[in-house]
Amino acid sequence: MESIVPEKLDAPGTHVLVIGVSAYPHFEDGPHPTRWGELLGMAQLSSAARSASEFAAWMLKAYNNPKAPLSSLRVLLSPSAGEQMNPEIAALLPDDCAATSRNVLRALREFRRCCQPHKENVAVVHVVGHGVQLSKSGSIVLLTDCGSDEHMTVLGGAMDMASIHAAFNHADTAQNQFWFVDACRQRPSVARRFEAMQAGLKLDEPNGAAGSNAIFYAATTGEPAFARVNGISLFTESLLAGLNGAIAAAPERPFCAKWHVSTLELAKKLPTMVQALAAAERAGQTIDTAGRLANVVLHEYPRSPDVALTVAISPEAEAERCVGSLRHGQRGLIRQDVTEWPMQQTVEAGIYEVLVKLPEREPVSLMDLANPPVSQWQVEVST
Amino acid sequence: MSPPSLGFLVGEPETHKTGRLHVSVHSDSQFFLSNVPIEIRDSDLMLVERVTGSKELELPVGLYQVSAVLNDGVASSKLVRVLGGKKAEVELSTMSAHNRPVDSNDLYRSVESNLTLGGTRKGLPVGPSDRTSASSPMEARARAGAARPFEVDNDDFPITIDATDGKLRRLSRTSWVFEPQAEAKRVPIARVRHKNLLVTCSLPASRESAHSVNTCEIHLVDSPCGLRVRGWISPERTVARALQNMLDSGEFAPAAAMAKDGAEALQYKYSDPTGAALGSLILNKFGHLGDRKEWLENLARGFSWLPDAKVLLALAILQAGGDSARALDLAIHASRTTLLYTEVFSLLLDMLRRWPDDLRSDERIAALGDLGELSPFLDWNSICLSRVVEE
Repeated sequence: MESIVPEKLDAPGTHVLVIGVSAYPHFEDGPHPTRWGELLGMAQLSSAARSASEFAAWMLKAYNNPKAPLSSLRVLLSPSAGEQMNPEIAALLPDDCAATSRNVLRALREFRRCCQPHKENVAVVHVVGHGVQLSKSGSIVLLTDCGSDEHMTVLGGAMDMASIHAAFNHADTAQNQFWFVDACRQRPSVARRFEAMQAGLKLDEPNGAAGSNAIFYAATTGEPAFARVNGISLFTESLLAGLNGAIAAAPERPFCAKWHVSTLELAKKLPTMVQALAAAERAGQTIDTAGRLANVVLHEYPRSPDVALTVAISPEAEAERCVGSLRHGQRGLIRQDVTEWPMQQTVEAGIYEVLVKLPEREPVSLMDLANPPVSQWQVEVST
Repeated sequence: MSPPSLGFLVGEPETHKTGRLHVSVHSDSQFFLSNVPIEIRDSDLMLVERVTGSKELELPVGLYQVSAVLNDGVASSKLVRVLGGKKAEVELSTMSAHNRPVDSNDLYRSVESNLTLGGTRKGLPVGPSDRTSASSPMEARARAGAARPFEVDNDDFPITIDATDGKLRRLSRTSWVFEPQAEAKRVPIARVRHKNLLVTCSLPASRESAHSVNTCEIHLVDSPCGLRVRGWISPERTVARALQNMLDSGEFAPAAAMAKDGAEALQYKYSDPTGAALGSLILNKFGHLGDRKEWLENLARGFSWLPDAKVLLALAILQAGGDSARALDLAIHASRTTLLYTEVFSLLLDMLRRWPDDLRSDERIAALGDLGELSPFLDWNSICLSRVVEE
């Protein structure tokens, strides 16, 4: 399974494997149902492959890690009928990119080969599809040929993510790893049947440990929470929002001199973001963080992230009498004599202060953080 | 008292280019006073310095953020103005509410949002040169819709609760204190019945001797899936409670820093084995379990009623490539009793699923089967093992 970007192995780089499965032809509602497929009791998905393609597109276009630039990107997608892929990724995909167990095994082998040459390599794995989460640190993800009569067991066409993660948990491979597994947690009646079953796709597990290999499992309590129909999954949506600035961490020399996304920021903020998004959909979603959490940088922002800052006056009726100014905490004046409220200003992330003057009143100030991507402040001017 | 200077705001000429900033933490716990890392960031939010305890720094004039993760488990921060030639003082402390048991009023109290996706802040008249933003983990989770207090409509709410090996004292309509009554022989459990739902929850409490009583709290929370129960370490157990709060809010780095120094003290000095096991669990997240093997041996031997210690020891043995027969013995033994922590259950399940050899495979598979019967009904969001069954 070839990389969709030119593979570079002569220097440390980031190697990415993305798998998204929406189409399950052997399920009861698929075009080629089987007894095993019916036994699984699951239905086609509408957004898993698209979600994976959007993540791959972000890696392709936005990912920035000067110490380990993008050096290979393998993408396997099995979209359902009519599911739209990210067009830039779709244009680069090879003919046979279906997320079958055969293709996934080949891609894993190639991915493992790419990760090995340099310990400074970064490995990123993103998998979306039906799953059966068995614990906080292990799940089975079903591939598109799951349920096929060609397999020896009902889970022959499934990946044991804990085993595959463990196969990369040793000292002779990329020491900086990020794993994202975005799969449904099935209802107890379904999950119960698979507790003692072994998934078909596993790898040898060498001894030792990688430096950092956090794995983030998204698990929903029911399929409606998995994704907006024909949209992208809630987990991937949160992850992309986070990578685009919402989980940016401030610079911290010598760890990272620029704004960045790191293991621990992901572990801290991603669950809250996903839960908030799921709650808005009146659904429950948990994020389980497993693996070794040594803090490493995934993504560096080339410059401080922009913040869309809005400053409103309360009560609104007083706004027309207010004159304001905005200052950065150290660099000083950004805007002055502001009379149009709410004030809207794109600023770099940081600490700012607003001063509002009203005739015959003491000035009112507000100092606060402008956090990416959006900050909304309200200056209370009533006495 | 003289009014605060507005020099920075109104462009008053600064005769000094630097000023002084004194930072400190207010806490009842000596451990917190001397061990909590405090971060000072400049107006670009670049880390200027990380200190522990109280410290005075000379800094360029400007606005700074001072923050620390305190015993409520979330980052508490203040913004401060450093004026030329003057000294600014910042003391970080948890709001008093965070050391009280969580009840409905606390949870529904209006809290300024500090969510990553942006929040609304209200301005203050010029006055104090700093502001605080802090919230408890449960408040943060409530904002995220993850855990709200369970709604109790009236005093005749159809709910029953009991617990093994101890007595319950009501704190609010949705929370109780659990006091262990007898010397520990097993992990105590709370049972909550509501309509056709039975929720059981392991409790992080123990009575080791007449002088060592570790109480805990039980909270009913609402989730998108309905009633859930949370076992929570009591506020008096400052370090252990902080570890649980930090774990809950995803503040893993400060939790690990605290566990490194504090977990051993929990075991020996304060005889808090459930807190010590939680500390070990956190250390495992950072791959430091192997460093504590001898200490885990003592925990497993000294508190044989706590199966979590056996699981963690088995894991440490396996990670070190040690005696797998002994590790398996510990794991199988632990699988026969009720565990305290959900994550330990998960570690045990995965360890047994992927055991590195074929030793006693029948027993291992049987143990796996027993755990597998339980796992679909677990509340994976709960730090303490909690099972939800519709009767």
